[in-house]
Amino acid sequence: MRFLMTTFMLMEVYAIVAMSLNLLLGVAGRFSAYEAALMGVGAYTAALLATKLGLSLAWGCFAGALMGALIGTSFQVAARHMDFFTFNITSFAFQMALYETLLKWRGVTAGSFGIFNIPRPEIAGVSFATLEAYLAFTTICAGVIIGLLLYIERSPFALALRGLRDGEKALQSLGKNTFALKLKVFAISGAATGFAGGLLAGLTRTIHPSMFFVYLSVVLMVFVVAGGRGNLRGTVVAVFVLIMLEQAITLIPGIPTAQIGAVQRLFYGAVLLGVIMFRPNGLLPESPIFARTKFPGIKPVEGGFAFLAQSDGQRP
Amino acid sequence: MTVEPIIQVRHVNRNYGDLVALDDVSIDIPAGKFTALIGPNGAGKSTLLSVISGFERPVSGQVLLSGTDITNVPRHRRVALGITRSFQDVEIFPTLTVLENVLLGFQRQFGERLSRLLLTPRDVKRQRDEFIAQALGVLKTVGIIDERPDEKAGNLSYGQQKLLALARMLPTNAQVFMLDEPGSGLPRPMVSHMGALLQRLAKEHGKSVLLVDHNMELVLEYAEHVIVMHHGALLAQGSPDYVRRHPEVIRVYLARVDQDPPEGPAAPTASAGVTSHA
Amino acid sequence: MNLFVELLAAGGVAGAKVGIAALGFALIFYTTREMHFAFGAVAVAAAYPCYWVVSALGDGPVATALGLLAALAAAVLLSIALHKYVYLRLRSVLPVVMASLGISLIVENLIQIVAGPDIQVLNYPALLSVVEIGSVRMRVLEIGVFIGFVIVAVAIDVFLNHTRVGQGLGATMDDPGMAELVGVRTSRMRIGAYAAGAALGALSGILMLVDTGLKPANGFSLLLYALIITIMGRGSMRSVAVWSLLFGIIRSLWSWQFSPDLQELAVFALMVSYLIIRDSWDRYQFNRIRPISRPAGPVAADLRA
Repeated sequence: MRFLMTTFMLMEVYAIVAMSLNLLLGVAGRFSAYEAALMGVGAYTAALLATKLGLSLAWGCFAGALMGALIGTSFQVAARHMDFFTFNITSFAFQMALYETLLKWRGVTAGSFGIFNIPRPEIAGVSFATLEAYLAFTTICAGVIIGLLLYIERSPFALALRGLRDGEKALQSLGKNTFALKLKVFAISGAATGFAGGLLAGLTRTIHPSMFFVYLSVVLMVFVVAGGRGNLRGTVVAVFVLIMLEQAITLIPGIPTAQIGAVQRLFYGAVLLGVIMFRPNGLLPESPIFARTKFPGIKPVEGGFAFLAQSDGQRP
Repeated sequence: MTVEPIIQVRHVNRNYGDLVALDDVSIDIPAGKFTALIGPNGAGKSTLLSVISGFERPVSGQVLLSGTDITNVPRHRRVALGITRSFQDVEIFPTLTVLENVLLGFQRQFGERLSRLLLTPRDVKRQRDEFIAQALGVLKTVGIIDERPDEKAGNLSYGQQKLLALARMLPTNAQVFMLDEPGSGLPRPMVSHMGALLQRLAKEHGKSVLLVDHNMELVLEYAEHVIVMHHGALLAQGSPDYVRRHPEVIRVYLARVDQDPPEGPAAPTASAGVTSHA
Repeated sequence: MNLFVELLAAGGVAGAKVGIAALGFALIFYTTREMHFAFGAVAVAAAYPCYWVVSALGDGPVATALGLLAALAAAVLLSIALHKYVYLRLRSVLPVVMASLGISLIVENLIQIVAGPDIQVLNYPALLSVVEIGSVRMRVLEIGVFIGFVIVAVAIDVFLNHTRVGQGLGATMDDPGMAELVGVRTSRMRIGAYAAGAALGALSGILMLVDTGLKPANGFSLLLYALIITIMGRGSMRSVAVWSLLFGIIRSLWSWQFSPDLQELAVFALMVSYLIIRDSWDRYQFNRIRPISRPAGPVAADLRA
């Protein structure tokens, strides 16, 4: 039972991060390889604030979100003009640099010792220390964040992001500030990832740099690709299904314990390769945000271009 | 009767290394008229379009919109001020549907602002529905591509994509519509359809249309005012009749290959350019 | 001073080790533009057959040769198969990145399951004997690696610039469309690049095997360094060779003044910074409008502006 609850919470946490990555990668068309380390930054921020300053983890998560937004935005702004290959590599190098920082900045992060005994939050006198209570906490937070992400996915903002992916020049010729768009999506994605890191810190109560190594970044990509690039609902499904299968692997008899991790990573690699080769659009392919068929009640405005002359508060 | 020009280009220079694209160019684009910008390859037409729309920065000189200096205004802001443009390479959004392409043309959408999305979702929804209705209306009036609004734009034919690129500009509510070779590579009926639409914009709605094209039909049939460029500078400008009889224009075009037999009695009308590039 | 020289030498050797892999990866990437993320995993995995052969047959010259052959064959065959049956089919950039990431996970963990996660080493006493050069003590192996790297780098350079086949390869790197047009068999060039690159990768893996030891997890870091140096090289194999040495030397010299613990961090941070600065500089140069002196009369007639 505890195992199920813990797994469920892990799913919630990774769903948030994977959806953020999908927002960046699938919707806005921007590659990203450092999500794992960004999660780590969020986790460490929340954990350190909780253990060293006694700040409730609930606030710590927000602090983690802020850090995530700041770091993600700064990096993307610095690297905004790079061609795909250079950006790809710089993204990986950034992941490694962040990981190394977590590992080697012993004074702050305690390096390879990790941080333990991270206290779960207490809000208004209510303690969420037990696993059940923390499950409630995580589920509420995850519910809100995932709900927000799904709402944003169906908005004109997301449509503009897709336009950004398809043709930045054209989007500019239609009056959209593409730089501001990019800043916003990097900030949202970074914040959600950082927040999820904080949630993870409270779940496992011990964090260690190895939890945020580059392999996790690749696994996150697997979630995005398998669920469907550009479809955030698909990501949620993929996270749940794949993590369930991953856990199921531990139940297969005959695998030596030391090798379970290898089998699990092998599994993820196979899923990634399989999806890319045989079902590249993923489980739930991207669908239009505004389909005519979804708005049957709306009638076309008549009168040719007459509406163009109207200024109903939209023209300066 | 002098009409205040809507766009004024003053002493604009633009070069790429040793290559001079615009050579001390000063041109007025008249307001509310259908203006054609023609000239042989390398004349600087597309560069001028880019300078006016903000996609290129001049080395020196000014661009004025209704008297206001917009030389340093970023390109996306110029749309809010009233200038929109299309591109020579189609540049529609291929993975988005026809309807979605047009939807992106609307300005100041509440739904693009995160604060609005979170705080006033009902307003966002209302405005979105309004825009969808207007977008469908635009598509209906533009015609041809309105039959399948949910079709992915990448699946449309080349001509339909060019029409979509034009349709997409309409919701911007701009005063100035600049089109870079909208008719190139299109069958005649499509070209006429487009020309008629643009003429409506100018005549019925007072918009200023600036068209860069090699297709002399579009130019001669629909344009009220023609500007001819050569070697990055202004060669001649005036009514279509004036321009086609202008000795300098004739001299410049005489060396070029004719596409169609001359239409006028005297002047050998030449099509612009040997290749399809402006 | 002595420490400095030692660090310099150690850095040069480290750079040479990474350089062999980087040259292999660069050959593949510059020629095919395919981001073969599985390069490191394949290189490491291919060294295992060598280990098995030598473990089974002893470390005499014949067995060693067979082992080398096994490793090279494994690497080359696997890499070419990946190119032909996976990457070529996918064509566009992002799917190739994803697929190769998936393959690298598969290969690396398959090897780990088969051979275990622990470090394996092949000891060749002759290679490990220490030699003194000036004030520096180095192992024969290290000198061999450095010399080997230089030979490979020079050979590649000579090949690309002075042989017909090599010039065809160089043309494929610079402009495959043009190359195809003038009769270069670019698809064969690509296969050749994969073969050569895989061989160098396998060599890299074997070097690890006889030196510090080989474990499956080494693949990814090997790849990452090779990848970063390749991108920094920007299409020039010479740059790749130089950057590899610089990388090794800088990383080593870091320990001269700073904590050796932070070596990796320093190197990654420097690489990221360099890439960002270089990109911004390129952008600045591109956008800078250079006014020219006005020539007399019209210029550049009929050239598309």
